[in-house]
Amino acid sequence: MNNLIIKRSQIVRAQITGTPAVGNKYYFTDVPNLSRNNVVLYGFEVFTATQLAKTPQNETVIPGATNDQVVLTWRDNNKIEFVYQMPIYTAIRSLNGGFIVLLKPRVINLTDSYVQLTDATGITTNEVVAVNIYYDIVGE
Amino acid sequence: MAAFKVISPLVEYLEKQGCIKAFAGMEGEKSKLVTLNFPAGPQNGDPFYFASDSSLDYSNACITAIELVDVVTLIDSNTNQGYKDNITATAAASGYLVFSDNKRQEIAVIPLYNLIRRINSGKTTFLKIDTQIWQNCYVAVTDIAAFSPTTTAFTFRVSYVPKY
Repeated sequence: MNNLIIKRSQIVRAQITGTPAVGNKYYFTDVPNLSRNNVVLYGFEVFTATQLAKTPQNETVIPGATNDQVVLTWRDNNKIEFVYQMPIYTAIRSLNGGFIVLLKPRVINLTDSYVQLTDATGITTNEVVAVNIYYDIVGE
Repeated sequence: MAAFKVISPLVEYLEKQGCIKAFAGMEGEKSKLVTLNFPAGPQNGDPFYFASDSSLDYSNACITAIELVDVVTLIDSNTNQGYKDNITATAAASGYLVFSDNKRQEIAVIPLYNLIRRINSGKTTFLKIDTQIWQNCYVAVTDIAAFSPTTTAFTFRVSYVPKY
């Protein structure tokens, strides 16, 4: 069994703007140096407040108890949803034997990727779903 | 007859690219404990920089794994301000570690909670960081009230491969 090696990582966030609602798409916030379709994603993990209470940008992360209410979708630079509605519980490392989700390396469009709620209970406006992405830079 | 293992093409590709290795694999050739005290008057978001340690700079080492030693793993550590308790896992959820290079560009940002090995079923966090300047790397917190700055310190076990 293998586990991921972190070469580069960045915490990205999808903010629950407005009244939290089931089915809405909450897109990842722009990170200037990662938003030029220049990121080859090969792994990621998700955090709730149990693992990371607030992001470095001081945004409150969704409560740990809501880890079974959110799904995540990654889109590539051809707008293909190559990971579609994956439950975030599956991507929380400490809940899954310490393993980090591995993917076939793919150029992602960060700001086209999003999370959705399947149940809004316990999630508050402006909280964020925090995700650490593990990546290479295109051409590096 | 020699044993052979079956490897999927994707796993083989990821191994060749240096993206994965066996979770029970070697962490590094060497490892050391590094402690970090809180500075005076710590504030949320302030970088708490590590002291200079040229043996962990990119010119001398590739950092291959890191572990945050929490108070359950080791109750206290010998820092340059004497013995201090290590932080709790609960407090670790309010902090993150940043690796930076010689231009202070962020190489990797990792929440501290993730680096506590016992919480992650004993699996260490593998790295391949080889452009770092150790004294440009830092810990920051998002809720200083979750910590006891005068009585606790951060302790990391850093695994690395020397380049000389």
